[in-house]
Amino acid sequence: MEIFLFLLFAIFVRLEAPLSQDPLEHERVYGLISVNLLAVVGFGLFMGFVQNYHLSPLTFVLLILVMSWQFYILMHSFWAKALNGFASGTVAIYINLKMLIRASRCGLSAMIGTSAAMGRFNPKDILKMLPIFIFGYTLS
Amino acid sequence: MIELKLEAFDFGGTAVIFAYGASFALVVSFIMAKKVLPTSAPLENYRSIVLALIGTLFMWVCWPVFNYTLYAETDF
Repeated sequence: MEIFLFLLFAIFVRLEAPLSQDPLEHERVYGLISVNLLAVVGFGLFMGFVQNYHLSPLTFVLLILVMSWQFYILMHSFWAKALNGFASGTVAIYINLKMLIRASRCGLSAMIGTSAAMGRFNPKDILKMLPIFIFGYTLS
Repeated sequence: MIELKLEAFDFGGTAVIFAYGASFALVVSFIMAKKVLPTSAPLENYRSIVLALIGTLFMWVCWPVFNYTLYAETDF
């Protein structure tokens, strides 16, 4: 599945050149890195019981976070184009700082949802549910 | 609903993050409760509980930083 996502990213996703004159952009970039670091450390500690499944909590949290980012960027752009019409605009998906911040929001929501359901399901089921979660999040 | 009914300002999208994550977990647990049973019950031990407490406190203290950084609605 990751190979499929990599292929989709290679075909569709492009990095948008910074055109905006945001005075706080430099601060936002470092804030974004800090937030994701805090999420990995915080949820990594919180999900310490994943060790019972012979998994490293930090690795599992990082996996969920990274997969959430990937799915969010693809699905959000898909729904944006589906609702606005596929004929409008270009096929390429341009990612910028705003989209990365929204992807971080989605990643944090996925962390909350998965850590809440983790007591009921095992990690494999959680990973299977993640695309459905992102699907609903992007629609909402 | 938050902005229209309660006339509150959802700074940093916190309500959406928490409400959607929690409601998804509740709905999935309710729907799949009888279909998917945990293969092995998570064994609780003292270290896991202490780590979870530390993680919860860590995120509770740091959440204002999350809100500040995730506030993306201003004009870039």
